[in-house]
Amino acid sequence: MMRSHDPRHPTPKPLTRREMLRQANIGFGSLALSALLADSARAAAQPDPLDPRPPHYRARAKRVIFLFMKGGPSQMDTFDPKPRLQHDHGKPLPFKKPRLQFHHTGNLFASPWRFQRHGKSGTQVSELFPHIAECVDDLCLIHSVHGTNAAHGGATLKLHTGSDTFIRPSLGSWITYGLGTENQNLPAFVTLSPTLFHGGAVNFGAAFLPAVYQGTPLGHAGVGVEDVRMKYTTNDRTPTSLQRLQLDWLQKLQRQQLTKTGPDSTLEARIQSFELAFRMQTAMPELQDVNNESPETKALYGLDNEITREYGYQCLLARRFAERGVRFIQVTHQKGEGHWDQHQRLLERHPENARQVDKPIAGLLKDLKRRGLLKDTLVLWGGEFGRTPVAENYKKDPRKNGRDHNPDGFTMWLAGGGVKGGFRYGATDEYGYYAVENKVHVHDLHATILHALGLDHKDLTYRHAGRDFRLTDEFGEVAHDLFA
Amino acid sequence: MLRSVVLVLLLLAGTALTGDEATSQQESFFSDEEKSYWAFQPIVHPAVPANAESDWALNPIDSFVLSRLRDTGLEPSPPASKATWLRRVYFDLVGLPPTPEQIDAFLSDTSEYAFEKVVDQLLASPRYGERWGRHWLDVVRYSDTTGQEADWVMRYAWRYRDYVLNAFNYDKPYDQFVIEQLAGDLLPAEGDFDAIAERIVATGFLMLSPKATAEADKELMELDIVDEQIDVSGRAFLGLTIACARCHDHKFDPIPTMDYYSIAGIFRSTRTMVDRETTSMWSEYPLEYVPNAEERKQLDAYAARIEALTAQIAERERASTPDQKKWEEQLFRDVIETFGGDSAIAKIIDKPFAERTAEETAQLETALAAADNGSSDGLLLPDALDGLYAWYKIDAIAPRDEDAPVPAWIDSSSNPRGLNLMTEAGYEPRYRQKGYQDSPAVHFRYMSGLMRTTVPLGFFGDQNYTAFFAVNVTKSSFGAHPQHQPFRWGQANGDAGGILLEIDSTTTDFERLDLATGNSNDAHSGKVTIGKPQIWSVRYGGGPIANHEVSIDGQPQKITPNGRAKELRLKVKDDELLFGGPTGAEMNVAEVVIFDRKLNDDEEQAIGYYLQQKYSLESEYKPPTIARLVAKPEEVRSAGEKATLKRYYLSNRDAIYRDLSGQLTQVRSLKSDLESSRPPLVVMAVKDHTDPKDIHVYRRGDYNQPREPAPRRFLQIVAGENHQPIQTQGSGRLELARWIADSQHPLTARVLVNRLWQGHFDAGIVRSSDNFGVLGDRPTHPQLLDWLASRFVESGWSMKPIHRLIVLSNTYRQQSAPRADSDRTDPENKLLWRMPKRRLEAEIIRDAMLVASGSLETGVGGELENWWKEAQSPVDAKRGLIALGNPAGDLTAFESKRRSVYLPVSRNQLFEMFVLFDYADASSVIARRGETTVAPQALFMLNSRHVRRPARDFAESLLAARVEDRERVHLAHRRAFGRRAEAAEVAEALGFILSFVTAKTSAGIEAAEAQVLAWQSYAQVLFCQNEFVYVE
Repeated sequence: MMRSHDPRHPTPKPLTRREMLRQANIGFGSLALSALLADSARAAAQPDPLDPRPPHYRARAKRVIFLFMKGGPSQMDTFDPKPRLQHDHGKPLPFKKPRLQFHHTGNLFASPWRFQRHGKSGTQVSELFPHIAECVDDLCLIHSVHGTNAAHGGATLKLHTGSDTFIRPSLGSWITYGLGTENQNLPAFVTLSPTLFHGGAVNFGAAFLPAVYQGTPLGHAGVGVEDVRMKYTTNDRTPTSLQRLQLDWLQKLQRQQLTKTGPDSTLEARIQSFELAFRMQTAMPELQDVNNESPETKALYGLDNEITREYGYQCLLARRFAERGVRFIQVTHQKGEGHWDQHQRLLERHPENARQVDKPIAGLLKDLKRRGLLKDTLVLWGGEFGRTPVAENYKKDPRKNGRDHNPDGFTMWLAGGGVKGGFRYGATDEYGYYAVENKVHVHDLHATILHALGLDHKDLTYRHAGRDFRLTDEFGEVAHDLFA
Repeated sequence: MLRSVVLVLLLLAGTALTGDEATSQQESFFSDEEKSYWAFQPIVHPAVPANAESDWALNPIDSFVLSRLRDTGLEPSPPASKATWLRRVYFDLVGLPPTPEQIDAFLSDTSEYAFEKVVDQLLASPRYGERWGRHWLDVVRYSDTTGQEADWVMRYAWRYRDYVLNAFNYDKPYDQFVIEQLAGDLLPAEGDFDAIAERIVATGFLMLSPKATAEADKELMELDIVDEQIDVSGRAFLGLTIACARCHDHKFDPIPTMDYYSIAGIFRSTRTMVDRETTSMWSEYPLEYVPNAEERKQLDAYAARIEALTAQIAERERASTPDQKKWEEQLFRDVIETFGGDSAIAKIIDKPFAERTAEETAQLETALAAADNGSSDGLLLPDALDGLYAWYKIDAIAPRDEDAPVPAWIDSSSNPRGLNLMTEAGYEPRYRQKGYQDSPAVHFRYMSGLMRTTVPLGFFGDQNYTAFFAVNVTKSSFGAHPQHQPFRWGQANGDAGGILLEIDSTTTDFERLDLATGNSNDAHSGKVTIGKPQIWSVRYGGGPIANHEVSIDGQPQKITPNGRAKELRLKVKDDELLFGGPTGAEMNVAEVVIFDRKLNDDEEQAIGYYLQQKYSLESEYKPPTIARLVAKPEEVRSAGEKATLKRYYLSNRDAIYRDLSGQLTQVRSLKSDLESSRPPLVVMAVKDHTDPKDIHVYRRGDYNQPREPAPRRFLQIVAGENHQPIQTQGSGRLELARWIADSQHPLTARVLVNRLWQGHFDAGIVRSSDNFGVLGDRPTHPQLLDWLASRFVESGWSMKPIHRLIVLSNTYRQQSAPRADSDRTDPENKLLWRMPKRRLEAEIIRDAMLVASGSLETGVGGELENWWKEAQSPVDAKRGLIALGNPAGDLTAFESKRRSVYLPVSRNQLFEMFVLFDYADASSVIARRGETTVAPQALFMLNSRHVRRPARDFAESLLAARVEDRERVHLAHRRAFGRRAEAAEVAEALGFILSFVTAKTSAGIEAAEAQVLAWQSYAQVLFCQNEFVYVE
């Protein structure tokens, strides 16, 4: 039953091992004790559910940073130029719109922004993202992402959990379940300013996975993370010195009790957890304090500018989490009315959104790269869906036109983590409505992200309700072409 | 019970089939291996093994356990100390630690029955249901919200929670418990209202499914809910993962897809969701109270008395009243005398009726009303008002800026004329009250500021009503808020309709009253004079929303229907009265009266006139009816008018008549009090669809790909292959429930006793307690499992005797200390050579801290009112739904000192402490919780106010004890760990406290406060210790 945790002998299918781990947790005391009695030197080898674990096979990436653009940025206006759309502006769409539409839409609506070629790859990026454009040779654009749900709630849940109908574990929790974490002093999975709506905490929840795998939120949409502290890491009532006094005494008492009851690794583990907690209390504030970052770095993220400061700070934190071994970091951008959800006033609001994130994201990419972190950090950018190439009219004033939700074809991009840079994959039709070439469903995207981390999405399973569940349900194809 | 007969025959006859099972010649769908799988075999009552040369066994459980131990060459562990056993059995049965007094009592009780006494006491305590009900709530994924993309609050879910707690406390027979949860609404309506209502509430079991209310594909939404219902029913009752067979035959267990859709047809014929709106609403409905036998008897007595009095009164009314004519003449004479024979009034009296102008008639009526002194206060209410219904279940209107609720109701019993306006704190209002004159209807205390009702008004569905508002609009803050809605009634927004009266803030003089339907933008206006008190009335008789009749000070107002508004639908969930804008005082509300039907013109006049008189307002309401009747010459009065006038005359001039009327009023009032003594109970419960029907097998679970029809029936592996479909006009739920709860069912009893076993020994005899299928674990003690199951069924499915057997066994009495020898043979302790050591569950840690600190509130049941308020964010006014959005993890509800089982459960934002300590995920069936040890738990224990606050309470109560510090330490240890401190512990504790106090006082903290802080810190150390959170 009890199998070795020795990473030198990785089991090919961690399913059984994980399953064992959970049971070990449940029957904790006796199992661990048997190990203890057999070999007291191994007493400290506790199966901590967050211990780092080897992947199924060679991993390209060790961690993920997900830059989530809440609301759904428009692909035709950012990374997926469509000359035909520009040409046919104002004409009706020459093919059928989807059966289920979110809102009533009108005729084709050309992008108001110009595209230019950038970098060695000559990849086109619209003028909305001048800074990200500088990093284009690191980007792996997937133009053919598609989902199933045209509503924010369903699409957001689908993107984060793989399911828009049932409550399922989130992407980040599956990954931490699969790989554990490399820094026990910090949460394994953090999410900065997550949205409280459209599934809210389900988007970073663990559902039926053990609760330790759920994401730790820092702030929430509408509340900047700068002034927020991770819960329970601060104590304004008891100064550290006194708390140390308290803790020392607590630990002494616990050890005394342990000598009375006899060796018990469960109790031992709990004693250790208090030491770890004490260390976490210093690790989090240290992480959030960016004062020791150079002015140049701060400027790189746009901290010196009111428009970019908030998202810039979050991106900088993402790097700081990444370099400390945190496994999954999500940074949500959801600012202002409608966030990226421009049903109207595209012309006015998309640039506002873009300005807030452009420099911070570019700063993050550049900073990760120069620190050598980009090669094993997979950065993912995108919204829960894209937008339609046809206009949603606002009171018949074309200047206030917007675009409707479009889950049928949109662009997300990856960077780092072993993906090809300056690379474009898949395509939408000539107007940008439907994914038509090398289609990447949200399930495929999930499979691909797990693949980058060395996890086989078909083997990363959890036994629940009598069957093995996985992030990709019974779907998902890895897009192998994305990897260098 | 044909099914069970067939079942029994099948079980007895093995593979033989009865006559009506025509499949004997067909090839069986199931393999022999599947048919002979242990869990599908009938439960036999095994003989208790004899254990030679041992007196260890205290009861049959021990004999089974010892026999298995000896087979393997193991011996049981020695018994734990009495103190350890006591702490164990307290946490196990009631989830709370024993108090020092309870410990002393037990330790000093040397009688033979000391253990039994404790067990019986605990099983009889309401704390038992709170503990064991929660185990069941884990299994049935209990939650107060829907979960999914919008975390809608299910406001009546708690009734189901209380039902479960009560079922455990009253040891409801488990077969009945099963049937009620699946089909309580379909059981015969026997027993009193509470019993009937309880059975309906029980179907909350099916209602708790997480719901994708906004799913655009509504059929998919319904089928996903059905799937979840199958999953929870299968795993909770049968330990089978039936839901695995949705897309294909079950991969491991003998459950064909056909069986899945047979059961799916039953649940698809059950109404869980009630509509297909963008956001779908789930099933909630009111149950009208039905008087019990005793009340019925009393009501009949009242009715008889009313009948007798009515007859006497009628008789008196039939008799001639020669003096009435004289009285009328006297009235006219009085008027003429008052105004003078030459006055205009006298001339009007002389004029033939037909020639009088409306103005003249009005003058005459006024003069006559003034001259009549028949009524003590000059107010003549038309008889029609007697017996009106008026809602008044609004127990509080809270100024929005403050939290303190304002009691808005009074009991008018002291004032037979009703309509009292003063309020009394603490008055408990009832839902609605019959008899306008004897009850105060809806009264708002005269006050200013923004007020809203804090409870629903009691409307549901399409509803006729009349509402009166006596208000004084103050000019002060009008216009300050473009969005403000100074006055709102019903659901004012969107397609669902509603009527909105609002001051139009877009005009420059802010002196318009807009009367709008559905939307504020297309209103017509009527004049409102700012600063002048007014009476608004709104009457609605059903149909298009344009049918609203609105008057201000008796002047009818023109309103324009909104194009989108169809019919007015008032829902019990969300209707509210809202006065004032977002900030500041805008309107003083003197009184609100709401009736449950549209009043007729006379009635409207009477109430309006009443309000007008009471508040000395100028209005167009006509003087009382009686004066108008008197002004009419007798020959032009209608028969009804003649009768009304006569009744009025009698009630003012005839002592006997007045006495009879008084008695009648009193008896009616008693009757109506009794009838309305209980409000309708709004429940979240299922119903059968009106057109129950079979569905088809859906290929790969896709309803767009129907295959062969799946007749509604049960699982073939148990009920027989191709057994007869359910014969029913309904959904088949009741039949399904009875099949599950049949005493011959091979799974139901086994699954339940196994859960009980798990609750005591941390693991079941079948460790996978929700999966008795092939992928589940095999029983470690199959004979014991069957013995317990048959014992359970034989004793009438009663759980408490099983608990009693278990906790009084010697097996349960063992020490938990590990032993190297046994550990090598049986490291997982499957054979129970010792008791497992267990960490307390999340709620129990919290409850134990509250107990130790002496602050636990022990009330049983009920809801934490409006717990969602702070986190209430997106509100779907159209659907009357409240969703949680703002951080709900920190709700002040979690500061409550009630037991954890009563804290609200939000699927999307569970209470953080609970999540940290492996609470049950509220979205799926949790058969058994995890037990992790991670650093964030320690962070929580060190820094959370949820620990620091009980530690503070603990410290304060310790310091309040008039004992020396040394004794204080003992007291603390006894309360936290159930034992006295050891000498070294005392010395160290005192040393710690001294250092802490020194550090604090030198930091400038006052000595007394430093003491509290030191003991608080010490209490926290106790809470943090393994000894506190582990049970030996």
